[in-house]
Amino acid sequence: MNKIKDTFNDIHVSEEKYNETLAILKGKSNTIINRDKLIKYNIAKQIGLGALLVVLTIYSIKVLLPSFKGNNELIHNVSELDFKSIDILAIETIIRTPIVILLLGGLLQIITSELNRYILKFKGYYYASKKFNLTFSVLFLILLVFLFINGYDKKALLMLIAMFIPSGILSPNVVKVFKEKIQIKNMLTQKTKEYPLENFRYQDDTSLIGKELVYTDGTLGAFSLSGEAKFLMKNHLNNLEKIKDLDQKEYINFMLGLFKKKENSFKNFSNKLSLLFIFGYLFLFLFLITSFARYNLTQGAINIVPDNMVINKITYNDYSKDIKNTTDLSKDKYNELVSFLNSMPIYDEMYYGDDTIIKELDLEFLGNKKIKYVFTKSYLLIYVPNELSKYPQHNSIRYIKDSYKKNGIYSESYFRIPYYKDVLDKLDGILNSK
Amino acid sequence: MSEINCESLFRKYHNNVYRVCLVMVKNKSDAEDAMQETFIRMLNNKPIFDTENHALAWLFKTARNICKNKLAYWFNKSVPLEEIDNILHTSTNDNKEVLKLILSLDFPKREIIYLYYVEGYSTEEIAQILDLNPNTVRSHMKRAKEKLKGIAIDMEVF
Repeated sequence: MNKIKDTFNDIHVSEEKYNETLAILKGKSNTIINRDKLIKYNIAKQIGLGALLVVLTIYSIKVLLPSFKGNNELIHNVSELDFKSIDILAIETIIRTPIVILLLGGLLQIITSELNRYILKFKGYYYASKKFNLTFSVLFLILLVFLFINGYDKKALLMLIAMFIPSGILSPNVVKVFKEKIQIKNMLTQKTKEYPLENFRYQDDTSLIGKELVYTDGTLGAFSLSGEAKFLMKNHLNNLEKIKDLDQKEYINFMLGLFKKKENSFKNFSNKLSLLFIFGYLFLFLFLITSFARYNLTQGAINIVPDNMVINKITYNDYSKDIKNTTDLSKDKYNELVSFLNSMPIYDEMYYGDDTIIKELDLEFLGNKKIKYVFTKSYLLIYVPNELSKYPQHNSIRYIKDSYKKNGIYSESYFRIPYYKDVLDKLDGILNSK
Repeated sequence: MSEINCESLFRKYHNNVYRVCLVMVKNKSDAEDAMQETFIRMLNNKPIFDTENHALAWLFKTARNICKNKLAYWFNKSVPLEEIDNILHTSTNDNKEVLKLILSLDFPKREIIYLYYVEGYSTEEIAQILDLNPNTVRSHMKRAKEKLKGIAIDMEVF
Protein backbone atom coordinates (compact mmCIF):
# COMPACT_ATOMS: atom_id res chain seq x y z
CA MET A 1 0.00 0.00 0.00
CA ASN A 2 2.81 2.37 0.87
CA LYS A 3 4.45 1.47 -2.40
CA ILE A 4 1.40 2.68 -4.34
CA LYS A 5 1.30 5.91 -2.37
CA ASP A 6 5.04 6.43 -2.79
CA THR A 7 4.77 5.87 -6.50
CA PHE A 8 1.98 8.36 -7.00
CA ASN A 9 3.65 10.90 -4.75
CA ASP A 10 6.48 10.77 -7.26
CA ILE A 11 4.18 12.03 -10.01
CA HIS A 12 3.97 15.78 -10.50
CA VAL A 13 2.55 18.19 -13.03
CA SER A 14 5.29 19.66 -15.19
CA GLU A 15 6.43 23.13 -14.25
CA GLU A 16 5.48 24.43 -17.64
CA LYS A 17 1.87 23.27 -17.37
CA TYR A 18 1.66 24.43 -13.75
CA ASN A 19 2.75 27.95 -14.63
CA GLU A 20 0.55 28.03 -17.71
CA THR A 21 -2.55 27.00 -15.74
CA LEU A 22 -1.78 29.34 -12.86
CA ALA A 23 -1.47 32.25 -15.28
CA ILE A 24 -4.88 31.38 -16.74
CA LEU A 25 -6.50 31.13 -13.30
CA LYS A 26 -5.00 34.46 -12.31
CA GLY A 27 -6.46 35.94 -15.47
CA LYS A 28 -3.03 36.80 -16.83
CA SER A 29 -3.19 34.56 -19.85
CA ASN A 30 -5.73 33.10 -22.21
CA THR A 31 -3.39 30.78 -24.02
CA ILE A 32 -4.28 27.15 -23.59
CA ILE A 33 -1.93 24.74 -25.28
CA ASN A 34 -4.12 21.75 -25.71
CA ARG A 35 -2.91 18.46 -27.12
CA ASP A 36 -6.29 17.68 -28.69
CA LYS A 37 -6.25 21.02 -30.46
CA LEU A 38 -2.68 20.41 -31.57
CA ILE A 39 -3.64 17.08 -33.03
CA LYS A 40 -6.69 18.55 -34.75
CA TYR A 41 -4.54 21.35 -36.10
CA ASN A 42 -2.05 18.82 -37.39
CA ILE A 43 -4.78 16.76 -39.02
CA ALA A 44 -6.17 19.89 -40.67
CA LYS A 45 -2.67 20.77 -41.85
CA GLN A 46 -2.17 17.32 -43.31
CA ILE A 47 -5.53 17.43 -45.07
CA GLY A 48 -4.66 20.86 -46.50
CA LEU A 49 -1.28 19.67 -47.70
CA GLY A 50 -2.83 16.49 -49.05
CA ALA A 51 -5.42 18.48 -51.01
CA LEU A 52 -2.67 20.70 -52.40
CA LEU A 53 -0.75 17.62 -53.42
CA VAL A 54 -3.76 16.12 -55.18
CA VAL A 55 -4.43 19.39 -57.05
CA LEU A 56 -0.79 19.59 -58.09
CA THR A 57 -0.79 15.97 -59.14
CA ILE A 58 -3.86 16.44 -61.30
CA TYR A 59 -2.40 19.61 -62.76
CA SER A 60 0.96 18.08 -63.54
CA ILE A 61 -0.47 14.93 -65.06
CA LYS A 62 -2.99 16.84 -67.13
CA VAL A 63 -0.36 19.22 -68.40
CA LEU A 64 2.53 16.86 -68.78
CA LEU A 65 0.98 13.66 -70.01
CA PRO A 66 -0.36 14.95 -73.35
CA SER A 67 3.15 15.90 -74.42
CA PHE A 68 4.48 12.51 -73.33
CA LYS A 69 1.82 10.76 -75.33
CA GLY A 70 2.89 12.58 -78.46
CA ASN A 71 -0.30 14.60 -78.49
CA ASN A 72 0.38 17.95 -80.12
CA GLU A 73 -2.15 19.86 -78.09
CA LEU A 74 0.48 21.89 -76.26
CA ILE A 75 2.33 23.01 -79.32
CA HIS A 76 -0.86 23.40 -81.27
CA ASN A 77 -2.16 25.88 -78.74
CA VAL A 78 0.82 28.12 -79.28
CA SER A 79 -0.50 29.04 -82.74
CA GLU A 80 -3.38 30.83 -81.09
CA LEU A 81 -1.06 33.15 -79.26
CA ASP A 82 0.92 36.09 -80.49
CA PHE A 83 4.63 35.97 -81.16
CA LYS A 84 5.64 37.62 -77.90
CA SER A 85 4.20 34.79 -75.83
CA ILE A 86 6.17 32.14 -77.70
CA ASP A 87 9.43 32.65 -75.91
CA ILE A 88 7.68 32.71 -72.57
CA LEU A 89 5.95 29.47 -73.43
CA ALA A 90 9.16 27.89 -74.61
CA ILE A 91 10.81 28.80 -71.32
CA GLU A 92 7.82 27.49 -69.43
CA THR A 93 8.05 24.20 -71.28
CA ILE A 94 11.68 23.84 -70.27
CA ILE A 95 11.19 24.61 -66.61
CA ARG A 96 7.73 23.22 -66.00
CA THR A 97 8.61 19.56 -65.81
CA PRO A 98 11.40 19.74 -63.23
CA ILE A 99 9.45 22.26 -61.17
CA VAL A 100 6.44 20.02 -61.00
CA ILE A 101 8.62 17.04 -60.13
CA LEU A 102 10.39 19.05 -57.46
CA LEU A 103 7.15 20.38 -56.02
CA LEU A 104 5.49 17.01 -55.89
CA GLY A 105 8.54 15.28 -54.49
CA GLY A 106 9.03 18.00 -51.89
CA LEU A 107 5.40 18.02 -50.92
CA LEU A 108 5.33 14.29 -50.59
CA GLN A 109 8.38 14.46 -48.38
CA ILE A 110 6.90 17.17 -46.17
CA ILE A 111 3.61 15.36 -45.83
CA THR A 112 5.04 11.98 -44.98
CA SER A 113 7.64 13.30 -42.54
CA GLU A 114 5.14 15.62 -40.84
CA LEU A 115 2.61 12.86 -40.59
CA ASN A 116 5.15 10.54 -39.08
CA ARG A 117 6.48 13.09 -36.69
CA TYR A 118 3.15 13.73 -35.07
CA ILE A 119 1.94 10.16 -35.17
CA LEU A 120 5.17 9.03 -33.57
CA LYS A 121 4.90 11.70 -30.94
CA PHE A 122 1.35 11.05 -29.96
CA LYS A 123 0.50 7.56 -30.97
CA GLY A 124 3.65 5.50 -30.80
CA TYR A 125 5.56 3.73 -33.46
CA TYR A 126 2.99 1.15 -34.50
CA TYR A 127 0.56 3.79 -35.65
CA ALA A 128 3.27 5.79 -37.41
CA SER A 129 4.20 2.80 -39.45
CA LYS A 130 0.59 2.05 -40.31
CA LYS A 131 -0.29 5.62 -41.29
CA PHE A 132 2.94 5.98 -43.19
CA ASN A 133 2.10 2.94 -45.27
CA LEU A 134 -1.43 4.13 -45.72
CA THR A 135 -0.37 7.59 -46.91
CA PHE A 136 2.02 6.08 -49.38
CA SER A 137 -0.47 3.59 -50.69
CA VAL A 138 -3.20 6.19 -51.13
CA LEU A 139 -0.91 8.65 -52.91
CA PHE A 140 0.48 5.96 -55.12
CA LEU A 141 -3.02 4.77 -55.95
CA ILE A 142 -4.16 8.29 -56.87
CA LEU A 143 -1.18 8.69 -59.18
CA LEU A 144 -1.72 5.31 -60.77
CA VAL A 145 -5.41 6.01 -61.37
CA PHE A 146 -4.59 9.27 -63.13
CA LEU A 147 -1.84 7.59 -65.02
CA PHE A 148 -4.16 4.95 -66.41
CA ILE A 149 -6.96 7.41 -67.09
CA ASN A 150 -4.63 9.54 -69.14
CA GLY A 151 -2.72 6.71 -70.78
CA TYR A 152 0.96 6.30 -70.17
CA ASP A 153 4.29 5.65 -71.73
CA LYS A 154 7.69 4.82 -70.30
CA LYS A 155 8.78 8.42 -69.82
CA ALA A 156 5.66 9.31 -67.89
CA LEU A 157 6.13 6.29 -65.71
CA LEU A 158 9.74 7.23 -65.09
CA MET A 159 8.67 10.70 -64.08
CA LEU A 160 6.16 9.34 -61.59
CA ILE A 161 8.76 7.05 -60.10
CA ALA A 162 11.08 10.04 -59.81
CA MET A 163 8.43 11.81 -57.75
CA PHE A 164 8.69 9.07 -55.17
CA ILE A 165 12.45 9.11 -54.96
CA PRO A 166 12.68 12.00 -52.47
CA SER A 167 10.53 9.96 -50.14
CA GLY A 168 13.12 7.23 -50.26
CA ILE A 169 15.44 9.61 -48.45
CA LEU A 170 12.88 9.59 -45.69
CA SER A 171 13.54 6.16 -44.32
CA PRO A 172 16.73 7.02 -42.44
CA ASN A 173 14.94 10.09 -41.01
CA VAL A 174 12.08 7.98 -39.78
CA VAL A 175 14.50 5.69 -38.02
CA LYS A 176 16.12 8.71 -36.42
CA VAL A 177 12.78 10.04 -35.18
CA PHE A 178 11.90 6.63 -33.86
CA LYS A 179 15.12 6.44 -31.89
CA GLU A 180 14.56 9.84 -30.37
CA LYS A 181 11.03 9.16 -29.29
CA ILE A 182 11.01 5.68 -27.91
CA GLN A 183 13.35 4.44 -25.28
CA ILE A 184 14.62 1.02 -26.10
CA LYS A 185 15.04 0.05 -22.51
CA ASN A 186 11.40 0.58 -21.68
CA MET A 187 10.33 -1.17 -24.78
CA LEU A 188 12.43 -4.15 -23.87
CA THR A 189 11.20 -4.27 -20.30
CA GLN A 190 7.60 -4.09 -21.28
CA LYS A 191 7.61 -6.20 -24.37
CA THR A 192 9.53 -9.03 -22.80
CA LYS A 193 7.18 -9.12 -19.88
CA GLU A 194 3.84 -8.68 -21.56
CA TYR A 195 4.63 -10.00 -24.99
CA PRO A 196 7.14 -12.83 -24.97
CA LEU A 197 9.28 -12.49 -28.06
CA GLU A 198 8.76 -16.10 -29.07
CA ASN A 199 5.17 -15.18 -29.79
CA PHE A 200 6.03 -12.62 -32.43
CA ARG A 201 5.76 -13.57 -36.04
CA TYR A 202 6.59 -11.96 -39.35
CA GLN A 203 3.80 -10.80 -41.56
CA ASP A 204 4.15 -9.60 -45.11
CA ASP A 205 3.22 -6.01 -45.38
CA THR A 206 1.68 -5.36 -48.76
CA SER A 207 2.58 -1.68 -48.81
CA LEU A 208 5.96 -0.25 -49.69
CA ILE A 209 7.63 -0.72 -46.35
CA GLY A 210 8.26 -4.41 -46.31
CA LYS A 211 7.88 -6.94 -43.58
CA GLU A 212 6.13 -6.32 -40.34
CA LEU A 213 6.37 -7.92 -36.96
CA VAL A 214 3.07 -8.87 -35.38
CA TYR A 215 2.15 -10.46 -32.12
CA THR A 216 0.54 -13.83 -32.63
CA ASP A 217 -2.91 -12.80 -31.53
CA GLY A 218 -2.72 -9.71 -33.75
CA THR A 219 -2.95 -7.27 -30.86
CA LEU A 220 0.46 -5.73 -31.28
CA GLY A 221 2.12 -4.85 -34.53
CA ALA A 222 5.50 -3.31 -34.39
CA PHE A 223 8.71 -1.89 -35.66
CA SER A 224 8.85 -2.86 -39.29
CA LEU A 225 10.72 0.26 -40.37
CA SER A 226 13.50 0.46 -37.86
CA GLY A 227 14.07 -3.24 -37.78
CA GLU A 228 14.63 -2.91 -34.05
CA ALA A 229 12.02 -5.42 -33.03
CA LYS A 230 13.07 -7.71 -35.85
CA PHE A 231 16.56 -7.49 -34.45
CA LEU A 232 15.32 -8.14 -30.94
CA MET A 233 13.32 -11.12 -31.98
CA LYS A 234 16.08 -12.58 -34.09
CA ASN A 235 18.62 -12.26 -31.30
CA HIS A 236 16.23 -13.48 -28.70
CA LEU A 237 15.51 -16.62 -30.70
CA ASN A 238 19.15 -17.16 -31.67
CA ASN A 239 20.34 -16.83 -28.09
CA LEU A 240 17.72 -18.83 -26.26
CA GLU A 241 20.42 -20.90 -24.57
CA LYS A 242 22.38 -17.89 -23.41
CA ILE A 243 19.43 -15.94 -22.08
CA LYS A 244 17.65 -18.87 -20.48
CA ASP A 245 19.04 -18.25 -17.01
CA LEU A 246 19.27 -14.47 -17.13
CA ASP A 247 17.03 -12.40 -14.92
CA GLN A 248 15.23 -9.46 -16.49
CA LYS A 249 17.94 -6.93 -15.71
CA GLU A 250 20.67 -9.13 -17.13
CA TYR A 251 18.52 -9.90 -20.12
CA ILE A 252 18.02 -6.21 -20.84
CA ASN A 253 21.75 -5.53 -20.52
CA PHE A 254 22.52 -8.42 -22.82
CA MET A 255 20.09 -7.20 -25.48
CA LEU A 256 21.18 -3.60 -25.09
CA GLY A 257 24.77 -4.69 -25.64
CA LEU A 258 23.77 -6.30 -28.93
CA PHE A 259 21.74 -3.27 -29.78
CA LYS A 260 24.62 -0.90 -29.21
CA LYS A 261 26.82 -2.93 -31.54
CA LYS A 262 24.16 -2.92 -34.20
CA GLU A 263 23.42 0.75 -33.69
CA ASN A 264 27.03 1.72 -34.35
CA SER A 265 27.20 -0.28 -37.53
CA PHE A 266 23.77 0.92 -38.54
CA LYS A 267 24.70 4.54 -37.96
CA ASN A 268 27.57 4.26 -40.41
CA PHE A 269 25.46 2.37 -42.87
CA SER A 270 22.51 4.73 -42.57
CA ASN A 271 24.74 7.78 -43.13
CA LYS A 272 26.19 6.21 -46.24
CA LEU A 273 22.75 5.19 -47.39
CA SER A 274 21.38 8.71 -46.95
CA LEU A 275 24.25 10.13 -48.95
CA LEU A 276 23.73 7.54 -51.64
CA PHE A 277 20.05 8.39 -51.80
CA ILE A 278 20.73 12.10 -52.01
CA PHE A 279 23.40 11.84 -54.69
CA GLY A 280 21.44 9.26 -56.61
CA TYR A 281 18.42 11.48 -56.53
CA LEU A 282 20.40 14.55 -57.60
CA PHE A 283 21.88 12.72 -60.58
CA LEU A 284 18.56 11.34 -61.65
CA PHE A 285 16.94 14.69 -61.16
CA LEU A 286 19.51 16.44 -63.35
CA PHE A 287 19.12 13.73 -65.94
CA LEU A 288 15.37 14.14 -65.89
CA ILE A 289 15.55 17.91 -66.16
CA THR A 290 17.71 17.75 -69.27
CA SER A 291 15.99 14.81 -70.93
CA PHE A 292 12.45 15.99 -70.29
CA ALA A 293 13.18 19.54 -71.36
CA ARG A 294 14.58 18.24 -74.64
CA TYR A 295 11.79 15.73 -74.99
CA ASN A 296 9.11 18.34 -74.58
CA LEU A 297 10.59 20.59 -77.22
CA THR A 298 11.87 18.25 -79.85
CA GLN A 299 10.11 14.95 -79.65
CA GLY A 300 6.56 14.10 -80.47
CA ALA A 301 4.48 15.28 -83.36
CA ILE A 302 4.59 18.84 -84.57
CA ASN A 303 2.03 20.55 -86.74
CA ILE A 304 4.34 21.03 -89.66
CA VAL A 305 1.41 21.87 -91.92
CA PRO A 306 -0.09 24.99 -90.37
CA ASP A 307 -3.82 24.91 -89.72
CA ASN A 308 -4.66 28.26 -91.16
CA MET A 309 -2.71 28.08 -94.41
CA VAL A 310 -4.82 27.80 -97.55
CA ILE A 311 -3.72 24.92 -99.76
CA ASN A 312 -3.23 25.69 -103.42
CA LYS A 313 -1.81 22.52 -104.96
CA ILE A 314 -0.68 19.07 -103.88
CA THR A 315 1.87 17.28 -106.06
CA TYR A 316 2.69 13.65 -105.44
CA ASN A 317 5.55 11.95 -107.30
CA ASP A 318 6.05 8.23 -106.97
CA TYR A 319 9.36 7.52 -108.71
CA SER A 320 9.22 3.83 -107.97
CA LYS A 321 6.08 3.59 -110.08
CA ASP A 322 6.97 6.52 -112.32
CA ILE A 323 3.75 8.28 -111.40
CA LYS A 324 3.56 12.06 -111.36
CA ASN A 325 0.31 13.13 -109.94
CA THR A 326 -1.10 16.54 -109.18
CA THR A 327 -3.82 15.78 -106.79
CA ASP A 328 -7.01 17.65 -106.27
CA LEU A 329 -8.22 16.44 -102.91
CA SER A 330 -11.62 16.82 -101.31
CA LYS A 331 -11.74 18.75 -98.04
CA ASP A 332 -12.08 15.56 -96.02
CA LYS A 333 -9.16 13.90 -97.81
CA TYR A 334 -7.06 17.01 -97.36
CA ASN A 335 -7.82 17.07 -93.64
CA GLU A 336 -6.96 13.38 -93.42
CA LEU A 337 -3.66 13.98 -95.18
CA VAL A 338 -2.74 16.95 -92.98
CA SER A 339 -3.58 15.15 -89.76
CA PHE A 340 -1.55 12.15 -90.95
CA LEU A 341 1.46 14.30 -91.82
CA ASN A 342 1.18 16.22 -88.59
CA SER A 343 1.05 13.04 -86.58
CA MET A 344 4.48 11.85 -87.73
CA PRO A 345 7.02 12.14 -84.95
CA ILE A 346 9.97 14.51 -85.29
CA TYR A 347 13.33 13.79 -83.72
CA ASP A 348 16.31 16.03 -83.29
CA GLU A 349 18.79 13.40 -84.42
CA MET A 350 20.03 13.48 -88.03
CA TYR A 351 19.38 10.26 -89.86
CA TYR A 352 21.49 8.86 -92.71
CA GLY A 353 21.28 5.90 -95.06
CA ASP A 354 20.30 5.16 -98.65
CA ASP A 355 19.28 8.51 -100.10
CA THR A 356 17.61 7.22 -103.27
CA ILE A 357 14.39 9.19 -103.55
CA ILE A 358 11.30 7.05 -103.99
CA LYS A 359 8.48 9.50 -103.37
CA GLU A 360 7.97 13.22 -103.08
CA LEU A 361 5.01 15.12 -101.78
CA ASP A 362 4.73 18.89 -102.29
CA LEU A 363 2.17 20.94 -100.50
CA GLU A 364 1.89 24.35 -102.09
CA PHE A 365 0.10 27.10 -100.23
CA LEU A 366 -1.14 30.46 -101.40
CA GLY A 367 1.79 32.84 -101.81
CA ASN A 368 4.00 30.09 -103.29
CA LYS A 369 5.03 28.77 -99.91
CA LYS A 370 5.86 25.10 -100.16
CA ILE A 371 6.36 22.25 -97.71
CA LYS A 372 8.13 19.28 -99.20
CA TYR A 373 8.19 15.68 -97.98
CA VAL A 374 10.94 13.63 -99.60
CA PHE A 375 10.91 9.91 -98.93
CA THR A 376 14.29 8.26 -99.56
CA LYS A 377 14.88 4.56 -99.13
CA SER A 378 16.15 5.09 -95.59
CA TYR A 379 14.70 8.28 -94.27
CA LEU A 380 12.26 11.08 -94.74
CA LEU A 381 13.34 14.62 -95.51
CA ILE A 382 10.96 17.38 -94.61
CA TYR A 383 11.61 20.75 -96.12
CA VAL A 384 10.07 23.69 -94.33
CA PRO A 385 10.98 27.08 -95.82
CA ASN A 386 12.31 29.63 -93.39
CA GLU A 387 9.29 31.91 -93.73
CA LEU A 388 7.04 29.03 -92.75
CA SER A 389 9.16 27.95 -89.86
CA LYS A 390 8.56 31.36 -88.34
CA TYR A 391 5.01 30.25 -87.72
CA PRO A 392 4.33 30.17 -83.98
CA GLN A 393 3.50 26.47 -84.06
CA HIS A 394 6.89 25.83 -85.61
CA ASN A 395 8.62 26.91 -82.48
CA SER A 396 9.98 23.41 -82.09
CA ILE A 397 11.20 23.28 -85.68
CA ARG A 398 13.22 26.40 -85.05
CA TYR A 399 14.64 24.78 -81.98
CA ILE A 400 15.71 21.73 -83.97
CA LYS A 401 17.22 23.93 -86.66
CA ASP A 402 19.14 25.91 -84.08
CA SER A 403 20.34 22.70 -82.55
CA TYR A 404 21.48 21.42 -85.98
CA LYS A 405 23.29 24.68 -86.65
CA LYS A 406 25.01 24.50 -83.30
CA ASN A 407 26.26 21.00 -84.06
CA GLY A 408 27.38 21.97 -87.56
CA ILE A 409 25.12 19.46 -89.27
CA TYR A 410 22.47 21.84 -90.44
CA SER A 411 21.95 22.06 -94.18
CA GLU A 412 19.14 23.96 -95.83
CA SER A 413 15.84 23.46 -94.11
CA TYR A 414 15.56 19.71 -94.33
CA PHE A 415 14.95 17.34 -91.50
CA ARG A 416 16.10 13.81 -91.89
CA ILE A 417 13.96 11.48 -89.88
CA PRO A 418 13.50 7.72 -89.90
CA TYR A 419 10.15 6.36 -91.02
CA TYR A 420 8.49 3.04 -91.42
CA LYS A 421 7.13 1.38 -94.53
CA ASP A 422 3.56 1.67 -93.35
CA VAL A 423 3.94 5.47 -93.54
CA LEU A 424 4.33 5.17 -97.31
CA ASP A 425 1.47 2.71 -97.58
CA LYS A 426 -0.79 5.00 -95.62
CA LEU A 427 0.21 7.99 -97.74
CA ASP A 428 -0.50 6.00 -100.89
CA GLY A 429 -3.82 5.00 -99.42
CA ILE A 430 -4.87 8.59 -98.75
CA LEU A 431 -3.64 10.08 -102.00
CA ASN A 432 -4.71 7.34 -104.37
CA SER A 433 -8.16 6.65 -102.99
CA LYS A 434 -11.01 8.66 -104.36
CA MET B 1 -17.05 27.79 1.98
CA SER B 2 -19.25 29.88 -0.27
CA GLU B 3 -16.52 31.80 -2.07
CA ILE B 4 -14.16 29.54 -3.95
CA ASN B 5 -10.61 30.49 -4.59
CA CYS B 6 -9.56 28.62 -7.68
CA GLU B 7 -5.98 29.71 -7.36
CA SER B 8 -5.48 28.33 -3.89
CA LEU B 9 -7.35 25.12 -4.73
CA PHE B 10 -5.14 24.73 -7.76
CA ARG B 11 -1.94 25.26 -5.77
CA LYS B 12 -3.10 22.70 -3.24
CA TYR B 13 -4.67 20.00 -5.41
CA HIS B 14 -3.19 20.28 -8.90
CA ASN B 15 -1.10 17.14 -8.43
CA ASN B 16 -4.03 15.14 -7.04
CA VAL B 17 -6.23 16.04 -9.99
CA TYR B 18 -3.39 15.36 -12.39
CA ARG B 19 -2.83 11.90 -10.93
CA VAL B 20 -6.51 11.00 -11.25
CA CYS B 21 -6.38 12.10 -14.88
CA LEU B 22 -3.19 10.16 -15.45
CA VAL B 23 -4.73 7.00 -14.06
CA MET B 24 -7.60 7.43 -16.49
CA VAL B 25 -5.90 8.50 -19.72
CA LYS B 26 -2.48 6.88 -19.09
CA ASN B 27 -0.73 9.68 -20.91
CA LYS B 28 1.23 12.61 -19.51
CA SER B 29 0.20 15.28 -22.01
CA ASP B 30 -3.45 14.30 -22.01
CA ALA B 31 -3.54 14.16 -18.21
CA GLU B 32 -2.00 17.63 -17.93
CA ASP B 33 -4.49 19.01 -20.42
CA ALA B 34 -7.38 17.43 -18.54
CA MET B 35 -6.10 18.79 -15.22
CA GLN B 36 -5.88 22.27 -16.70
CA GLU B 37 -9.35 22.02 -18.23
CA THR B 38 -10.77 20.91 -14.87
CA PHE B 39 -9.56 24.03 -13.10
CA ILE B 40 -10.61 26.26 -15.98
CA ARG B 41 -14.09 24.73 -15.72
CA MET B 42 -14.12 25.50 -12.03
CA LEU B 43 -13.11 29.09 -12.78
CA ASN B 44 -15.86 29.49 -15.37
CA ASN B 45 -18.69 27.63 -13.60
CA LYS B 46 -18.00 29.01 -10.11
CA PRO B 47 -19.60 26.06 -8.24
CA ILE B 48 -20.49 26.47 -4.56
CA PHE B 49 -18.92 24.07 -2.07
CA ASP B 50 -19.67 23.29 1.58
CA THR B 51 -16.23 22.04 2.47
CA GLU B 52 -12.80 21.68 0.91
CA ASN B 53 -13.39 17.92 0.63
CA HIS B 54 -16.53 18.66 -1.31
CA ALA B 55 -14.45 20.83 -3.69
CA LEU B 56 -11.90 18.07 -4.10
CA ALA B 57 -14.62 15.52 -4.88
CA TRP B 58 -16.05 17.97 -7.47
CA LEU B 59 -12.61 18.33 -9.01
CA PHE B 60 -12.17 14.56 -9.25
CA LYS B 61 -15.62 14.08 -10.74
CA THR B 62 -15.12 16.84 -13.30
CA ALA B 63 -11.65 15.60 -14.19
CA ARG B 64 -13.11 12.16 -14.72
CA ASN B 65 -15.76 13.48 -17.11
CA ILE B 66 -13.18 15.45 -19.06
CA CYS B 67 -10.97 12.38 -19.34
CA LYS B 68 -13.92 10.30 -20.50
CA ASN B 69 -14.53 12.83 -23.28
CA LYS B 70 -10.89 12.72 -24.22
CA LEU B 71 -10.91 8.96 -24.45
CA ALA B 72 -13.84 9.16 -26.84
CA TYR B 73 -11.60 10.60 -29.60
CA TRP B 74 -10.26 8.09 -32.09
CA PHE B 75 -6.72 9.31 -31.67
CA ASN B 76 -6.84 8.66 -27.93
CA LYS B 77 -8.09 5.11 -28.13
CA SER B 78 -4.67 3.64 -27.58
CA VAL B 79 -1.87 5.04 -25.50
CA PRO B 80 1.80 4.11 -25.67
CA LEU B 81 3.17 2.88 -22.39
CA GLU B 82 6.69 3.89 -23.25
CA GLU B 83 6.20 7.15 -21.41
CA ILE B 84 6.55 5.81 -17.88
CA ASP B 85 10.03 7.32 -17.52
CA ASN B 86 8.74 10.77 -18.36
CA ILE B 87 5.83 10.49 -15.95
CA LEU B 88 7.81 9.66 -12.81
CA HIS B 89 10.17 12.21 -11.33
CA THR B 90 12.71 10.05 -9.55
CA SER B 91 11.84 6.96 -11.60
CA THR B 92 13.19 4.15 -9.46
CA ASN B 93 12.69 0.74 -10.99
CA ASP B 94 10.21 -0.28 -8.28
CA ASN B 95 8.05 2.80 -8.76
CA LYS B 96 7.98 2.27 -12.48
CA GLU B 97 6.84 -1.29 -12.05
CA VAL B 98 4.12 -0.30 -9.57
CA LEU B 99 2.84 2.41 -11.89
CA LYS B 100 2.83 0.03 -14.81
CA LEU B 101 0.94 -2.56 -12.79
CA ILE B 102 -1.73 -0.08 -11.81
CA LEU B 103 -2.05 1.35 -15.30
CA SER B 104 -2.37 -2.15 -16.67
CA LEU B 105 -5.60 -2.64 -14.69
CA ASP B 106 -8.94 -2.28 -16.43
CA PHE B 107 -11.10 0.78 -16.16
CA PRO B 108 -12.45 1.67 -13.48
CA LYS B 109 -10.40 -0.68 -11.32
CA ARG B 110 -7.26 1.44 -11.58
CA GLU B 111 -9.23 4.53 -10.57
CA ILE B 112 -10.71 2.79 -7.57
CA ILE B 113 -7.29 1.56 -6.45
CA TYR B 114 -5.89 5.06 -6.78
CA LEU B 115 -8.72 6.76 -4.91
CA TYR B 116 -8.67 4.14 -2.16
CA TYR B 117 -4.96 3.75 -1.54
CA VAL B 118 -3.59 7.16 -2.47
CA GLU B 119 -6.40 9.61 -1.78
CA GLY B 120 -7.70 7.59 1.16
CA TYR B 121 -11.38 7.62 0.21
CA SER B 122 -13.75 5.00 1.56
CA THR B 123 -15.61 2.71 -0.82
CA GLU B 124 -18.82 4.73 -0.25
CA GLU B 125 -17.09 7.98 -1.11
CA ILE B 126 -15.52 6.41 -4.21
CA ALA B 127 -18.94 5.14 -5.25
CA GLN B 128 -20.26 8.71 -5.05
CA ILE B 129 -17.40 10.16 -7.10
CA LEU B 130 -17.60 7.45 -9.74
CA ASP B 131 -21.39 7.25 -9.83
CA LEU B 132 -21.30 3.57 -8.97
CA ASN B 133 -23.00 1.31 -6.46
CA PRO B 134 -20.80 0.82 -3.32
CA ASN B 135 -21.07 -2.95 -3.78
CA THR B 136 -19.81 -2.64 -7.33
CA VAL B 137 -16.87 -0.60 -6.07
CA ARG B 138 -16.10 -3.26 -3.49
CA SER B 139 -16.22 -6.09 -6.02
CA HIS B 140 -14.01 -4.12 -8.45
CA MET B 141 -11.61 -3.49 -5.60
CA LYS B 142 -11.51 -7.17 -4.70
CA ARG B 143 -10.77 -8.22 -8.26
CA ALA B 144 -8.16 -5.51 -8.74
CA LYS B 145 -6.37 -6.60 -5.56
CA GLU B 146 -6.37 -10.21 -6.68
CA LYS B 147 -4.92 -9.27 -10.06
CA LEU B 148 -2.25 -7.05 -8.54
CA LYS B 149 -1.33 -9.65 -5.95
CA GLY B 150 -1.02 -12.24 -8.68
CA ILE B 151 1.38 -10.12 -10.69
CA ALA B 152 3.24 -8.26 -8.01
CA ILE B 153 3.83 -10.89 -5.39
CA ASP B 154 7.59 -10.32 -5.45
CA MET B 155 7.36 -6.60 -5.20
CA GLU B 156 5.44 -6.45 -1.94
CA VAL B 157 3.01 -3.87 -3.23
CA PHE B 158 0.43 -5.00 -0.66
